[in-house]
Amino acid sequence: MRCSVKFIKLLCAVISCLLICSAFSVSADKPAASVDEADAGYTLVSENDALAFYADYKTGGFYLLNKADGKKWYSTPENPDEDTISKGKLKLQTQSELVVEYLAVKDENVNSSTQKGNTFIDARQNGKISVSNIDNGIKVVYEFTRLGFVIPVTYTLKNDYLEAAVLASQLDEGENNYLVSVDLLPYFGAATPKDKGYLFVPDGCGAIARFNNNAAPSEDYKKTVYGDDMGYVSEGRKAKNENILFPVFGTVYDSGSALMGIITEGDAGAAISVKTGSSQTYFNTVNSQMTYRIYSTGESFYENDRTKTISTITHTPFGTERYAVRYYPLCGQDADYNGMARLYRNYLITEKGLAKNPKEPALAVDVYGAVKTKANFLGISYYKNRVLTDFDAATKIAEELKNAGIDHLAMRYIGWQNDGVFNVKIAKNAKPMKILGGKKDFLKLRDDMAKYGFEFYPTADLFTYQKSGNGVSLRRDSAKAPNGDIAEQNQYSIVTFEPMKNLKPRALITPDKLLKVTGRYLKNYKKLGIDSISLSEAGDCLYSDFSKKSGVYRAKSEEYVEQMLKSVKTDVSCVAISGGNGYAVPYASRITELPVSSSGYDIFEYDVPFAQTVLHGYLPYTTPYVRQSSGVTEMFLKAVETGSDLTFSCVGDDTYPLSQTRLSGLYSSEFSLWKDTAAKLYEKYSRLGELVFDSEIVKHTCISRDLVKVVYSNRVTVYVNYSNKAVTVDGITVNAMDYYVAQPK
Amino acid sequence: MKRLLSVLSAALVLCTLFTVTVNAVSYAPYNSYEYNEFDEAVDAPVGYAVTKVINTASLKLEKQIDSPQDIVVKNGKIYLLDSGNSRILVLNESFELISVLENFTISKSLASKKGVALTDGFVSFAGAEGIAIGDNGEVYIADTLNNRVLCADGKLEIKNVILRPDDRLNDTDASFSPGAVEVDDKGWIYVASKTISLGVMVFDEQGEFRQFFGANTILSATEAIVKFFREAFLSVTQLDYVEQKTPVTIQKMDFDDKGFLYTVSPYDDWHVKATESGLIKKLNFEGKDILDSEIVFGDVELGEEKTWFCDVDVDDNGFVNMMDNARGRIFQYLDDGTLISVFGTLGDQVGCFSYAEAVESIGDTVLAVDSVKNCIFVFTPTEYGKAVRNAVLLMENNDLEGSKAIWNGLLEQNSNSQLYYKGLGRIADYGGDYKTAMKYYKLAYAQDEYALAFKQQRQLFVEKNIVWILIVLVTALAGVALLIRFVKRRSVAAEGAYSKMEQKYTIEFYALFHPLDAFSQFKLRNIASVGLSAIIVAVWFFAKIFEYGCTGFAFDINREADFSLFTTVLVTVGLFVIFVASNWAFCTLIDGKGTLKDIIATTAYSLIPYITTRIIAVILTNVLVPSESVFIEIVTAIGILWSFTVLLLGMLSIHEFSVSKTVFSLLFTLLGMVIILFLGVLIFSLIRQIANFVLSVYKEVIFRM
Repeated sequence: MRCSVKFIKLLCAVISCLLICSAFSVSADKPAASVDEADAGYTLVSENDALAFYADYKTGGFYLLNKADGKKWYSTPENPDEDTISKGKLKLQTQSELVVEYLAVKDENVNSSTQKGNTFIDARQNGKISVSNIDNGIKVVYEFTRLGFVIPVTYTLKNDYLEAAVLASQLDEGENNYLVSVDLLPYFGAATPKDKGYLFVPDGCGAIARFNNNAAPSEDYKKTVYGDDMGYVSEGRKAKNENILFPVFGTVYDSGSALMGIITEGDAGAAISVKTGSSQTYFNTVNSQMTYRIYSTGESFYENDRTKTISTITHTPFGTERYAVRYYPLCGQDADYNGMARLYRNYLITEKGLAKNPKEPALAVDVYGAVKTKANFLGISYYKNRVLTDFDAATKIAEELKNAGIDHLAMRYIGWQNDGVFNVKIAKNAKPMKILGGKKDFLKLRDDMAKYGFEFYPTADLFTYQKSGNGVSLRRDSAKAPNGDIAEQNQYSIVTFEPMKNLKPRALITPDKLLKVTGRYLKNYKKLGIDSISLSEAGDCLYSDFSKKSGVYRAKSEEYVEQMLKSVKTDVSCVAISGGNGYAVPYASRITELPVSSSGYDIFEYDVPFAQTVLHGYLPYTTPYVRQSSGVTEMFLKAVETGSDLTFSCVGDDTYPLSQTRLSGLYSSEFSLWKDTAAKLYEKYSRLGELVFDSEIVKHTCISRDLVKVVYSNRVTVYVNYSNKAVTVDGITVNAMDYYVAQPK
Repeated sequence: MKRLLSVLSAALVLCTLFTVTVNAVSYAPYNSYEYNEFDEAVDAPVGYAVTKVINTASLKLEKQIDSPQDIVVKNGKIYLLDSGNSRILVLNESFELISVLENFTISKSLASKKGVALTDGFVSFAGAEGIAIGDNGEVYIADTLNNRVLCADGKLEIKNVILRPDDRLNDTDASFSPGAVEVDDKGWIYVASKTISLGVMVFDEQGEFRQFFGANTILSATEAIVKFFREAFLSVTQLDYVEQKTPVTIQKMDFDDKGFLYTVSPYDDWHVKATESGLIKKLNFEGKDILDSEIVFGDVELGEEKTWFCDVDVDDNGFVNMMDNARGRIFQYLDDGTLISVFGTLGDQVGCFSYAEAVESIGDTVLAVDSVKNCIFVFTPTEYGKAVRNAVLLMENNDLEGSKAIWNGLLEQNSNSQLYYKGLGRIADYGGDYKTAMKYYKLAYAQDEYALAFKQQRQLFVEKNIVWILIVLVTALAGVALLIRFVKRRSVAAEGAYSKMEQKYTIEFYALFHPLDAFSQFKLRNIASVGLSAIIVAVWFFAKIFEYGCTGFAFDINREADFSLFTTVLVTVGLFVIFVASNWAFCTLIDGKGTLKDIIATTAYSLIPYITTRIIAVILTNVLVPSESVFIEIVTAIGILWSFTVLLLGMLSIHEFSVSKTVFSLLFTLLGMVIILFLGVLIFSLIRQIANFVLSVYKEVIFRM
């Protein structure tokens, strides 16, 4: 033992010697040449084999040189004057490294909005920028004299990236203003109207916004990473949206160079904003934003019989100590969204512990157990559990699917325990519902699933509840909105987008109770002897608790969820999560309902399966529900394109009365209605899946809007044609609304 | 060489493909729904999705499209009014630009005659809101800002200019600002002016004014009454402050292929609370609306915004597309009010509107113009949408056998829909399988159809079981006769004594036939029973529940979940208590002799016939159909009359009133009940206000803490 410690010490010493030597040798050889090449005003700060980092010590501006292709990435546009569209403050903003959003202290609790400041006007012209050297980089302190902010940012060169970090813990806000958010390097890599290329946005599965597409939306694209903070979003969405799953973004030039950003610290409090060139915007930019405080407007107290809208701000900062974004310059083969996906996958593998754990193509089935419906007995109305699929029926469904030729099935069972699909009290016991057949039938189902070799994921919701009980109080232990109310999770009307009055809102448990609840539940769950579980919300549900005294913000919540998943993994080896937010992915053994499209914003040109490219060959994942999509054939083709397992929502009983419950969106989930379709589609899908399930996607290309080509690492190539006409490409004819698999000879 | 060429051509193809800015295909950023019998929205699969976006980039135009206002499809060509640029873009069916109609000319004489000013030698119509295209490519432009309608031939020369027909508009000084123009097959021009509410103005092919057509009516009946009272009570100066009501103007129009003119009118009033019928009209040749006046188009579940139709379009198959500007939705209906699909919403996504402006269709494809996004969204039916349209058309043509498979297929895709259950019901019905038909109709909440199928089924049942039915009927009649005899016998009493029917717990039945005698015994023998009364009221309460749960489907649709215990208690026990309280309070004032106990018992006992007949009526609703409901009405009427008579005589005898005084006291009892209810409502709303106050104080405290 002692010997080995000694050995390691020795090894360390040798390695560090080598490193120092090599560093010296690098600095001895190159700097002279590089300094000569440096732009006027910039000096070399640091360099390595791949990159060189130059900074202007007066302004705090910098550029990053990618030695492989000689491309220089400037922190702000090289020629800001060529911008003929922006005027005044907005024009000067383009020369800023930071853009801050703030609220004056006196504007709190009245109906007012935030204002913006930037480093060019408020620090360079009317304040102070001090630059000092640190290891491999610089530290820039921006003093916004007028606003009272002092914001330190470090820029550090690492192996193949530049890390920009806002040191939030050393940030000084001053007294007159609240800092709401900081846009970090909003014009880093900005493209002009002369450039050709696209911005990559991780919306849903991923999307491409071409430079200068002239879309000019009424509001610029800005979205929180990992979805809305449910702690304060309480309005129904007018349009359906997909979330940002991974904290990444990128700018790609058709000339073969790209800049990719990964938010590595403070991602839970980050947002990504995108602007494309139009008659109102000159530069094409994508950047990330750090949240410092939560600013929200909401209806508050009654005044003169009406609710009054006020803006509120959280009094403790968001909790991000350091907000760090890595910028990777890419070139050649890597300079596109495929390269970014590879890079992000490597990041997940090396730093987050993503392991290769592929599974053969499966049919995913989400079975619904029981749901509460309103009933009345002799005039007294009450909620009763309505059986949708009991354990016996589920066993039969598995058997029938087995007989129909489905070799691999991944069954999630939703609403099998305690209160059914939606928790009334927080989950504590793992008691199979009596009404579904009780423990005996449940264990039979478990045994049959094991016998067939099917994946079986009983679903547990450890996040939401409606009533106090099981040691968790509704008032005390629930997450609160910024105005102090329980952060109610409503079901919204699809017509009016207003909360549905006849359905009780649900509460979220405060994130710091999450571990306790999980531990308690898991102890009971383990007794059922199942080595897999589905914790849907762990993958798509991240929120803050804005309680005045014991607030927990998203940055902290993310840690809690990760700890929760870690602890679950020690007890249960397979965990399925839903949606697949980046932080949860490394713990998952299956991701359910991974979006196969983006939200389709006007600024997007087409969708790209970025998320799937990251995950394929590493983790199995499934599509959103086939039956509830806008077309079965389209969804099937999407599954083929993205390598996703098809998912069917399943109800054993007839579904008609579902229209009066929370599950009214599950029309046509009756097993008998889709069994044959599912078997047919699975048969087709699995023939392809068998070939590629453990390979990575190497290159996905949109040949045209309706035609995509996907190349796997084992050289299997898939062409998918979404158009109504047959298309010939690479000498291969792909039929209308069909696909073609080309195998290497 | 050949290979090089092919590579080059491939590259060219790729280039063109990439320069066309068209967005993602299959993602529909909105929920689709339909309305059930209870006006609740129910999720439904998406029927239409955007497959293409037509904008400046996709048409490769140099000048940006600016505020497009109208779109017309004629002879396979799509005409888009690019209003801001004073031009019309013409596209073919594959949405490629084939020509741009701009630089319209005009002869000098016509220009000076009609006062048309030229810009750069051409006629500008910037800000125009509507166009129409004639059979031979004539262009009609509703040049809104210039107060005229331009009529040009296919060669871009303006042949006629329609100005305000002053001699026909003597009564009004409203300006002539045409917002929409249509042309019929005779070449007559229909113009809807934004400020003139006398109807669509019809001009002949020479541009001469002919008539007003299809005006909206001025006042509804209630509004007329309100107006009458206003004028009666308000002074002249006050009246000046009251908003003068004029009928709404017609906003947009579209001819269907049979020559009917669909018109759409906006709301005239911000305070209209609900979506109304009559905003969409289908005008016949006389200008009469031939749509069923019961049909309400648009959203019936309302939030802060109401449906605000801004355009209407009829496609080749008779499906009507209506565009809702307020929520950015397009509703597709059959003109009998059957909702086919709802699609679109507001937002920055493809398929979401910033400002929905105009709608038009080409085949089953719907073209929707957004005047802020400056684009056309091409909505095409999804697999589901296509199937629904097919099925409905087959059903319209009475092709029942052909549509059965389709209806079943649809049910597979959307088991929430009532439409399909109705369709399946109809198929079973026509096939003579009434039992199945009834089942489907019930699921579809189709009462009328259910009643007819039920009648057929009943016919079959009666034919089959006539003997048994007769036996049951005879037995029942005999039973009733025996019962009457039994009661009569027990009502006979020995001299000086009371019969067995005049005891404490039997007197209520005796009272039904001898009210005066029975109720006068209350005082003498103290046999009024509060307990028994309570039982009767309880029976009334349960009868109400029975009525709710067991009324025949053909008569009333009552869903278990909608049952309200509160209302049921209120209309039975509550009503009883209020009546007794009111009667007691009032009759004590006017020296009524009845005690509270007497009043309770009298009221309760007299309810027996009413309750009994209600129960019988409920049973009858399960045997009869609504067309035979006269029997039920007779039974109910007997019950009410009987109960009322017993009550009247009862009150008369316990209070020892004269007949007129009893009637008088009952009237005042009713008045008292109204007062009690009023006070109740007042207290209730007061409590609610206090609760709101406390809640907001609490919220404020929590917030400030």
